Amino acid sequence: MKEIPIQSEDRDPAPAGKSIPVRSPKRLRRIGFVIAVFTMLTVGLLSFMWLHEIGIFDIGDGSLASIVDYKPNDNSLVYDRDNKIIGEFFTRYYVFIPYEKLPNDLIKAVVAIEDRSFFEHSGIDLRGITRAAVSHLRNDKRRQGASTITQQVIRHFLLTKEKTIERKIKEAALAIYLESQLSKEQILELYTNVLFLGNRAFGVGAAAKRYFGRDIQDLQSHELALIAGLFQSPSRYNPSRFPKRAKRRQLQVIRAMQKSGMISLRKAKKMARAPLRYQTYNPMNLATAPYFLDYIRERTEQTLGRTNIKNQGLRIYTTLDSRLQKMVQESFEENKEIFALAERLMIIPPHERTGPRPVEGAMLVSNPENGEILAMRGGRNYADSQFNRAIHAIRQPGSAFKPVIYSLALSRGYKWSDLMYVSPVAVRNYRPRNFSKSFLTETTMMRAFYKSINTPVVAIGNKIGLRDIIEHGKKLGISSEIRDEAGSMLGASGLTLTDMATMYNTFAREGKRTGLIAITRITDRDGNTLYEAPTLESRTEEVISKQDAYLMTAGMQAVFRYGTAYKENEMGQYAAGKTGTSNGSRDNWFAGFTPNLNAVVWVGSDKSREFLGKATGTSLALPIWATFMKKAIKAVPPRPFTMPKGITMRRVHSQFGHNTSSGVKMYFKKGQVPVKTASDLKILSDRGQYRSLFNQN
Amino acid sequence: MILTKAKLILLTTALIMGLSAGEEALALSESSCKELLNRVVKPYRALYKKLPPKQPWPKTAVVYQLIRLSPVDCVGRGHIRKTLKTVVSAVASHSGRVGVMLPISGKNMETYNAVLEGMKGVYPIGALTFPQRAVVKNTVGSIKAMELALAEMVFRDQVGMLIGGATAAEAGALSRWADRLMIPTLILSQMTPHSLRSKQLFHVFPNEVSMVNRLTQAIRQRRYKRIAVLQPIRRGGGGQMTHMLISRLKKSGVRVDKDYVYSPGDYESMEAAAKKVFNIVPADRPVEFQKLVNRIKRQAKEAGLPFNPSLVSLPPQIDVDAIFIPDNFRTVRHFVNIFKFLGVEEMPLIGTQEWRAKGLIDPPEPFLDGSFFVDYIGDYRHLPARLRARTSGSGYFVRPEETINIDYRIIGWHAMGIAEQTMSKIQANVKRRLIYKTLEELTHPADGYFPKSRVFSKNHNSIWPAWLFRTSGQNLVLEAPSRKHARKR
Repeated sequence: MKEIPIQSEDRDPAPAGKSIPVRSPKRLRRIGFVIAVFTMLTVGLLSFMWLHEIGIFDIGDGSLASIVDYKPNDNSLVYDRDNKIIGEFFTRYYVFIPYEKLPNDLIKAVVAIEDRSFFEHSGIDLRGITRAAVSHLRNDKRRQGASTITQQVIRHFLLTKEKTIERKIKEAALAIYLESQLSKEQILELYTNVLFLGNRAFGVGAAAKRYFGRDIQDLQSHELALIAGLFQSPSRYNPSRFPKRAKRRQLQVIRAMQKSGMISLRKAKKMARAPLRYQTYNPMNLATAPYFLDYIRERTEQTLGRTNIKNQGLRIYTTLDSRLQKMVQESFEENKEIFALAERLMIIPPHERTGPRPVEGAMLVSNPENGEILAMRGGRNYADSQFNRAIHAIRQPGSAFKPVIYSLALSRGYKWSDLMYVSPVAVRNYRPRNFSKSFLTETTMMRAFYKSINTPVVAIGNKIGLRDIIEHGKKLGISSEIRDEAGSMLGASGLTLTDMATMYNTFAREGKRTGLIAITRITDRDGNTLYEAPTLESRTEEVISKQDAYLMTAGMQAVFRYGTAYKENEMGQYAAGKTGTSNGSRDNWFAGFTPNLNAVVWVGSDKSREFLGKATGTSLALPIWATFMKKAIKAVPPRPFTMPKGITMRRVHSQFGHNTSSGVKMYFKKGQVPVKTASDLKILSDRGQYRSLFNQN
Repeated sequence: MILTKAKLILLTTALIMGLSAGEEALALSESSCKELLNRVVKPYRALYKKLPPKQPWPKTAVVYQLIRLSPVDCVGRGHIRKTLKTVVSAVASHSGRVGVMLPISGKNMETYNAVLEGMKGVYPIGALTFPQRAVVKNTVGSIKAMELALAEMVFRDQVGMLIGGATAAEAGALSRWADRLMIPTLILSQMTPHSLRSKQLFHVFPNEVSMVNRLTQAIRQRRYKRIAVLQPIRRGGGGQMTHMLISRLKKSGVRVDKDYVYSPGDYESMEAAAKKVFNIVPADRPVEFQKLVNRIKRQAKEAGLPFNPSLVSLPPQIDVDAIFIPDNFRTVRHFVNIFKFLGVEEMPLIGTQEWRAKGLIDPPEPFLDGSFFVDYIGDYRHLPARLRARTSGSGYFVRPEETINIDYRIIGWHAMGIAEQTMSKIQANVKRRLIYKTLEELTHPADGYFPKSRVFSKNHNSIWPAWLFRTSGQNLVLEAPSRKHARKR
């Protein structure tokens, strides 16, 4: 400590007229010495007490545990079924870059601008402190910081940012101690990975992603210089918000690099001239399957009982098939005209006619063999609406609910060839109409199904009983509430896409209901398993016989061959499905499957708007489904449906139910094969009269 | 002039009565002879013109002499006598064969081939015997073709009897020719009020009279006081039986509401007719309807649901004991569903032979339990041996594809049976113009199917049986005549 000389003018002048007692110089020196010693002892004691008070003497191994043992904070990562990362959950965005992978130019830039003698000092930079002090005393406008990188690390982990002498001393002491515990590289690795660099990015890796949309290794020197400049004041130099300021800071960094001899003047100039091209960060979560990731986050939180799984370093392994997910996205894009058509057909109240017409759509793809969700789209545009219709929308399935009733009927002895008179039906006060309003016709049960004629199913449902139908629906995999009212028979009770997927998977999997899963395993970052999906066996229950499931599947193949999906009739070779249209075409569905792939599509509006007549499951949902399926079968070749033992095929007249070689294919259980080879109704239909001899002409 | 006409009538009567030219002592005047020629020869001559110009067959028959007669042949007593002899001889002589004219090709060929099949069934070895006994001509459904066929049969084949008139048009044309040519003819069509009445004409066709009688009897037995009739609007009429039934019921003191017409195949019209029967039309019960609307609106509001007008339906007012639906089983099944839809839980229905189909009761329809209908065929197992078809389940149904054909086969079989019986009954020298007498007196053979009665009623309508069936679950029950009675036949 430098001794400051006492100036004569600082001394008090002696009062006039009084004699001053004069002491000998020797004595004076002695007294002075005593006072000095005393003072020093006092200062020393007080300093000791103060340092003790602020805990300098408590610094030991434990003090730095949070730094030494620090594990880089990490996003929770989501993987698809091929273990490719498809999403990450974070509040703070981290991308950990180990020291070895830090670009050299970045190290140079950081060191040049933040701590030029980093590799030389032992935690604190005395010259820097002096320089800062001088600058401080001079009241220099451009005050210089004296904190080394090590001190900044200490401050980040252990201390506050308050500017007190205590904090500074403690910081210095800890910095010195940290240098004895960690190597320079380790300290720099910590520094470059944990500090906030603006825009929710923590660390240089995250900053590279969020400002330049690239990995740090892919950045050029001038871009690295910009990132290095962010450490001092990330918000102030945020290039997204203040690009000019950020540029100035980058130049400072380049100048510092050049001054410190880390780069040549030529390179510095080149770096300074190179343009900075920022790229809006396109988060991975939006790129592949945003709705699916939302679902995964919800499921993970539920599964682990946590309210927040962000930045937990979880590794979430999912069932998503990125190829199929891409096909789902493409199917929506390629059917834009379908949505345009829907928008034209939507009935909107006059006072709401301005603005966009929000026709929405959702799709859920799963594997019937194991219930794995393979792809999901919860809406047309995630940026516009994050509501995940594939999971949370409860919409009326319309005729897509009919397989519940028909499969129950088939299990109770009804057969596809059963003849029905298509007439109006009243159940309690419920009086449904047919979609085409066509009464006065006859049909077999199968034709009623594949042409989606309403009144026969209500007649059957009425005979079977609504309670049994509700129970059967639950057995098939519907977990939403099916209301105990007649309208439910025509799908007036709202269901989710997952209900539909589970139900249709049950038919595809030969009567075995398999719960849907999206997460197969969750581990922490060290690989410790936190959750493992239940085994397929434990998720599977046989709820209807193989035979009944096959009969129902055959009925749904007929939907393609002869019914409401006829425009895709060639798909009936390998797929089965059903259209659905709720009242007023508010909800338009197609649910269809091969033995190893199931897709459910819904098109409608969030406000349950009605559409004009042309809007149906056939016109709105089927094209999207078909576009997807045609692509998907190339990736997932369909297996043939296996006809179980005890099932026989016959060609049966679709309208009147008798055997005929020109009839449609119908399948029957043993003992139920139709024996009729002719029908009075056919005779009547052909001749135009029946035994009306008296009217002959 | 009056005298001449009287003489002509006398002569014609004499011809018809079978007096021979030699026997009659009538001395015809020249003018009367000319009148006779005009009346008898003219139609033959007109028919002859229907033949192509050059006939390949020999023209030796007396009928050719007939058409060659001219007014010159009525000059002089000797000529008049000769002329009269020729005329009488021409309308009396025949080959003993039966001429059959059917439209066996064209639109309804299946039907008329069934008639032909039925005719062949009369003979033990139909394929061999039938051509010897009958001459068959195809009318192709055209009057022109029928007239050509008729001409050939008269001039070449000289048939003793004709069977034809399977369609209404052919029946009309053939009736006129047969009457003028004085040839006994079995018309295969229903006799209508417009049908030509002639001693030579006999209608062989299921008779509605007996069916109406049977229905009336059943309705009275059930003590029904009020019957509604749901009447289909059909092209070409066909409501004769309904009119007869209504008339008969009214005479029996049963009230008949008949203003419920509908267009078959049109749901709206059927529903409208049914609503009228049960007085469900809101305009007819405005106060009640308004109250109902208000109640349902209130209920919807309480349940927090939008008001749904389709839920508003007046309860039916059932004022009738039964409904007669003279339409086919299919329409009946749809009507049943409409009735149920309108809230009618039970209502006996009454029908005709058009109900007789498995489709009426399969799939079963409890609503139809106790409904009944009449038919001219009873148990199919009791049909004449050669007409029997494979029955389906009970004897009350045959295979669908055979049902309609059997009807026509019976008609053909019955017509040919009558012709055969008649031709075999008459002596060789019985004149053609007198065959009608045999026909009038003919009785059904004891083969068990037709009742033991004359074949024709006084108005030359064939007498057919009528059976009454009642529906019961998935079965038909023969209600009248009793099984025992039916078997006896």
